[in-house]
Amino acid sequence: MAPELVGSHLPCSAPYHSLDILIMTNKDKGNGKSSAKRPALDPTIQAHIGRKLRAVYDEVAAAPVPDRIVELLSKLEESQTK
Amino acid sequence: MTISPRLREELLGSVRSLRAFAVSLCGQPDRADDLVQETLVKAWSNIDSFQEGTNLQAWLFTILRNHYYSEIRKRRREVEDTDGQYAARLATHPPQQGHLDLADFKAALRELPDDQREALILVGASGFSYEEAAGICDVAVGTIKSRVSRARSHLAKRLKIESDADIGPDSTAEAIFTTLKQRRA
Repeated sequence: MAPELVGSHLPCSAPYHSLDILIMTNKDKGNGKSSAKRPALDPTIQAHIGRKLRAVYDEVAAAPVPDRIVELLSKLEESQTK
Repeated sequence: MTISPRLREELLGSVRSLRAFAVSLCGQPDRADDLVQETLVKAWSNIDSFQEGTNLQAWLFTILRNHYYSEIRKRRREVEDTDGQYAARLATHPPQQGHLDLADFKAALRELPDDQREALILVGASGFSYEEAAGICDVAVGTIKSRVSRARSHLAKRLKIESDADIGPDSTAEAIFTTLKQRRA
């Protein structure tokens, strides 16, 4: 690849960068926090979310299957043997 | 059609997690069981199109999910938000001081956009890989990863808000006020 072509896939790079700076400046004025969009989550919080999530899920998944579904399954099985 | 005993066992074994997934999608246990029933009937009548040895659970989840969203589209055409039921379901409880119990966590879950919640449930609770979840939702793997990440961030923010209430400036300020009042009295 010819060296002058490097970076040519980024048209209007100057305005793009200045916009970036503008956004960052506004952000910094706003709350003084870092401009990182999504900082890595605290592992403790992440583990906590995981536990809660599975608890919510298992509340249903561990419950007995309702009669109407059990009945439907038997009907479907009957229809198969016919 | 013929269903091998092994496939039948697998099918029965999937019912529990199908129900949990259905509840996470629609938020109503009764509606969730309807969804599971409709999914099982569909699966049973289309079992010939399932390739035995591939992931049955992912196949069932895909059927349930597609069915759920096509129902939603149908209902939206028929009635626009019946009696604000949908809005009521989305309504969140006022934030509570202190420990974020399961009910609060559920409320926070319901605040998530549907696509983020389902991605988080599939990966974080149903035990699917990012690739399987992408297949179920018919989107790119990167999309699933970003949805899961955004969902986690939202929940983390909520959890942080809740835990800050325990030790944060609000309760501290309140304690100081109380002390001041007592001294003045």
